[in-house]
Amino acid sequence: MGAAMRHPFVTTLVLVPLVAGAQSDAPGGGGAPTELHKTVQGKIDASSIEGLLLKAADGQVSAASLAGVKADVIEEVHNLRDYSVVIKALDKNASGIGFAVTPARTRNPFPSVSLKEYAGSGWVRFAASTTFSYAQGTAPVGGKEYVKQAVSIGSSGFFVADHDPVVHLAGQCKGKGIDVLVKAGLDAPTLTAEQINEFNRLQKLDADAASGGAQAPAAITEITRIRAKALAGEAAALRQVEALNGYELRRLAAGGDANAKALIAAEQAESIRVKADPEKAALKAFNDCAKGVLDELGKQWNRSRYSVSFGTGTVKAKDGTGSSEGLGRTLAASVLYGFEHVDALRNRAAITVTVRRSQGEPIASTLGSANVRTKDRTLTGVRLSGGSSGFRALIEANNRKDEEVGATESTLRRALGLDVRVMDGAWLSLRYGKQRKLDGKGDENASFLVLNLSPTALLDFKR
Amino acid sequence: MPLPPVIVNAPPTTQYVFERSGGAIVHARLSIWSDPGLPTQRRAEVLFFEDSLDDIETFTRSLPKGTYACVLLVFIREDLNGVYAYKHRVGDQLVAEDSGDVNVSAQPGEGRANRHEYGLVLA
Repeated sequence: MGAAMRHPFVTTLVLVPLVAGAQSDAPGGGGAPTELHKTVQGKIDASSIEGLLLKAADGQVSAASLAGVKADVIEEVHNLRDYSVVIKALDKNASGIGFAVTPARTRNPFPSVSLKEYAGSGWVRFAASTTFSYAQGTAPVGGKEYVKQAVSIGSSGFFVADHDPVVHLAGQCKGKGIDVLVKAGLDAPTLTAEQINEFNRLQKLDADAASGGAQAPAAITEITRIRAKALAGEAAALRQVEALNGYELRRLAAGGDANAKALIAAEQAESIRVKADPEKAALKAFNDCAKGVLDELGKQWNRSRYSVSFGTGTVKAKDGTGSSEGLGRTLAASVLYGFEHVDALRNRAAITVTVRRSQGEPIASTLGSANVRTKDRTLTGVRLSGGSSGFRALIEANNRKDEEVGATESTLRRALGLDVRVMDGAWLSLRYGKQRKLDGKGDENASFLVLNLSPTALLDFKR
Repeated sequence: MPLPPVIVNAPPTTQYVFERSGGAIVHARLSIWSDPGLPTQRRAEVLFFEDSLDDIETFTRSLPKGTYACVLLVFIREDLNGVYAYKHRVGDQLVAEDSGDVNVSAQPGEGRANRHEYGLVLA
């Protein structure tokens, strides 16, 4: 029996490209893609190949995804004040809430590393990028509300240090902020040579007096004379005494006196910061530069990188009945290689390998029953993507295997996408997908060809 | 109580050192002015400490004997985090330092700018 006879739903459509229609009103100024050819065999949704492709989320596991809450309810913990979110999240009555903390990015960083250490070691970047997350959400299962709580730990990063935005930015925009301060005249001195020489004399007097050396008696005599004049109300002597007291404080601090250090730090905190307006202008200049630098870095879509994460959790009926069940354990990892070592492919292609393994995941329909069943799932995939200014291609194969007691289902999916620029502002796009289930029912295929009158390809790897 | 400025006494050939630590970007620029306050005042030297990926930057400079005013401008901006600490030394004398965290809110791209001024007597 032929494949077409086994699958009752077989359609073939050939649509005439209507250029006028294709040029109409798609968002962003591009024309809406016009379908030229479409074939569907089986149950594949051929409106796109996205259904056959692994998603970015498949290479990661988060507490939010395990708990079934939207990622936007996750609060990022940066400092002590934000820990109140954690307390709130732990409230059993709260639903759809969570937090994520990357300890190295907080006010009390752990590990506490300098930018040099961060840039110098992939292991340090791995540790500094480790994120812990907790999420809690409610979901109805069979007409009953269940509370899911999940935790996850994960890290991600770039293999080349300068591909990391933190490292990259640290080497860019040099002087952008300070240039603004200099233009505002803040590098001009307020001290005159005469004042410096006078302060130098007073600083030396204080040092000599405290030294106990041969010069001490003369210095003490001079200081006594100055203090007497100050007591008599002489303005210049009063300023000299104030300076002498200051140099004494600095000398004590340099000798390790904690109180003196604290007094100097308190005074300095107010005095060294520049005024708000030039500071704001300097920050704006730097941040404008940083935005440009990071936008440019973001265009390098195939920077080699990795992510690895682990998550687990529990699920329990909200009304307290029944036992608490584990959500299983999920480990996910993804590696993208951007061919930095191959001249012909650098900045043009990337290969991505994704693995995701879940063990002991409860089957939703059995929750609340006396015999909660679990399943294991394994997802593996390889994707090659790349292109140039006139060509984009994506080819992917992935396998999804679901195992539970007495039943195993495996689905192999393959997908191909090609975008070719036929002329300025017009791309021809071909999509083909195929999936095979190990259930003896054969392959399911879908393909379609579209004319995309738009300045950009449909396959955009930067997104 | 306003503190009097630090006055550094050093030989004409001296090391100017800037040390930094923490996860914030820290840039500094030292302007050394000769004849401060006089009509002949001018920048005798400008030193750029702008490699945030380096823990310590050192310049050795030879300047004519005399009295100078030095202005160190420091720009700090959060990166890995907002934590920063820096020290500036002339020879072995510590003349400027600060530490803290510029990341004080959820606002991205926070920072601050500091200005230190001290006297330098080269003899």
